[in-house]
Amino acid sequence: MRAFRALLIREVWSLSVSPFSYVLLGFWFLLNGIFFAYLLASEPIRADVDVLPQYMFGSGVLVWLLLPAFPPLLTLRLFAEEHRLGTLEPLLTAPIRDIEVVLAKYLAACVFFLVFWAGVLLQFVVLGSFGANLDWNLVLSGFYGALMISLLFLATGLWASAWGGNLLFAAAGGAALNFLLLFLPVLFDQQGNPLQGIAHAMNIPDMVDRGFTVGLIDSYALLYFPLLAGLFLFLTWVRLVSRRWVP
Amino acid sequence: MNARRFRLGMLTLLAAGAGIAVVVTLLSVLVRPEARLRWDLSSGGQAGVSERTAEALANLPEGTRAVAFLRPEDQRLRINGNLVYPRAFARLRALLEDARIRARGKLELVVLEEFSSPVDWTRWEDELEREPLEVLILDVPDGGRRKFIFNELFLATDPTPDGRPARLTQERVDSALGDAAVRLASGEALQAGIVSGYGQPRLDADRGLRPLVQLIRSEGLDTIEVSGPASEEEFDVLVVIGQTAPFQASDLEAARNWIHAGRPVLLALGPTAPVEVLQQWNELLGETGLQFGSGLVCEARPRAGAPPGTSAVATLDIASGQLSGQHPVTQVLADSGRAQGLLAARPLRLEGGSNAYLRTPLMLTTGDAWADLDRDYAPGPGELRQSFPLAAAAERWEAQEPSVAGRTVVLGSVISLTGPRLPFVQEFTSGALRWLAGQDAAPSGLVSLTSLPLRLERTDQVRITNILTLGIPGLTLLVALLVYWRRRR
Repeated sequence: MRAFRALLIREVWSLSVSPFSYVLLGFWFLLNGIFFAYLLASEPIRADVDVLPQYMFGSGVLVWLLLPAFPPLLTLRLFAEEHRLGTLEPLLTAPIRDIEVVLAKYLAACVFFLVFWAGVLLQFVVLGSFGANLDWNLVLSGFYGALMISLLFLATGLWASAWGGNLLFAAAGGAALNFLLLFLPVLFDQQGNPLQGIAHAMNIPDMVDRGFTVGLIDSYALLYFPLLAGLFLFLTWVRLVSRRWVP
Repeated sequence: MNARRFRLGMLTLLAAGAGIAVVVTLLSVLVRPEARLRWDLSSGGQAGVSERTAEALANLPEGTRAVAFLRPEDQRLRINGNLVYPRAFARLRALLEDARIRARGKLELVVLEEFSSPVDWTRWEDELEREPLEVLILDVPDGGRRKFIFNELFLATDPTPDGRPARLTQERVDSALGDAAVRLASGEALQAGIVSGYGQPRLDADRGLRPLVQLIRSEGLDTIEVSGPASEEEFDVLVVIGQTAPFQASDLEAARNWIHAGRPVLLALGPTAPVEVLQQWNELLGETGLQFGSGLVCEARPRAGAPPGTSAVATLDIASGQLSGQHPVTQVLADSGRAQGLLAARPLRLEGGSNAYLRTPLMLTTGDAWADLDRDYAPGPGELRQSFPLAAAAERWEAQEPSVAGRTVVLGSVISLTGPRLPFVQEFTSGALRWLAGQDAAPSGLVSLTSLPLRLERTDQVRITNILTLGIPGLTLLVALLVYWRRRR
């Protein structure tokens, strides 16, 4: 456990002292800030700021374009860089369990991505400080939904990163997988489609739009994201350790 | 080497497959409606359907469908900007999804969006015989069906000439869905008997009573056309609109018995109704204290293009303040600031009657109106300016059951209930139908949609934009530079 804690702190620290992380964070804040300011200038939002959390955490196009792309950019270095530099083998042979390595790297990415969303929450705080009458229950519920999706997308990013030393593959593969997870169910969730039942159960925008951002929390949605994230962490672990299974 | 790679690949695939199988199995169990828990974190606690509605939906037979047609159709609500439809549709989607889950698998949900396939739209519209403005249809397998029009579920303010858009103020999706589910589950749809044998407007004509028939059906009542009150058909609410010939003896007797038994009546007679018909009805309604007066109610509004001497004075704008805020039929409209519009109305009188009845004027003119007797559209010597009741309701004090409570709604205009004029009194008519059908037991079920408008000074808006687009990102990029500089050193 001590080794796990040490590795977690090391991973969080390495993300915190990486200029690339801050550049990512800056762009995330910039794009979200532009979107937020654009929404504030629009008539429907000015008429009712209650719908703002829905746009920022659920219904906004920008959310669905940025959210699948940014987590893999954050996780791409976690295993791919170790592969590239040849430090993965020493890490996997160190006195720490393989699953702890995977979890430490994943949790470090989660902690850092929390800062990404905290920035969006800060935008609401800024708006509130200028006298906007916000329904904080809806803001926090939407924020929670966004965090849950991020947990999943970070796990897929980590899995993509575990496939080798190619950073581009890690980033593009993770983002592509996230976009597939996001939009493929939406495509199939159509009346008359034989796969509609499955697609509807995996329709992430629906879970957010008809759940988290309107203040309705569903036990299925609460478990869907951690379970799927757990699956990708398991796949990451399998990817890293399977070579030892066959002598 | 190849054999090792193959074995490695197979083992990896096997492990991955096992992991996926476990997760898929777990999710397929968790996704079932009966395994799901829901928490409503919204501040009003009204983001989902109520326990009553969820229970009622769960009692519906297997295969019940809720089909939502989410396409903005009332262009009036989009004047000056579209603030109504996006929010109303978002609310409907969230509530229906919640209803689907909490109905424990009894409800199949179909949501047709504006961008959905036109083939799907046509198929569902044909299958469910959808009429324009119907936004939701609840369809049970045995043929029971409840249609909801947009205005029935959502209340919006009107757009204003000074550029303000229509705004959504209240909704009653949950209670309407619950009422419909209770009625469909019990299989007891009320019947409205619409009298057509005494010169009434045609029921199948677009400029006749067809829109009213559609409205009655959308309120969950079945409609049957009857020649008169003495018809052998069974019905629960008597609807008489625009009668132009007096009842024959048998129908007169049946109408008298109907009213005496305290059964519900919706009656509208306009300024052109023959004297014999008016006398008959005044005699029939004697006990209730609702009476038809004489003349055509006029109100001059020169600034709105209705100066005295023109027929425009017979078009009456009824502001929300002129509607009763105490009666279930109009309370919602009065509270939510909904105006109504009447054309060619006869005044009513609330006089005489038995003490057993409570009577309420539902809709009044302002004190500047007069009853025009000589059709010159100008106030004459015998035509005093005063406030006239245009619609009124009566109800027995002591009855426990709404079906025998003597509930009667009388309106002094017929044209307003026909053809293209109906939308101007549609909300009033819906309220009247709901009250007559006894659907006011649970209060109106209205949920206020609190809108939190944002009023920012221009300078504040600029400050916020600067903080969000320059301040926070700039600070972060500065930290990136600092970190980079420290690492270089």
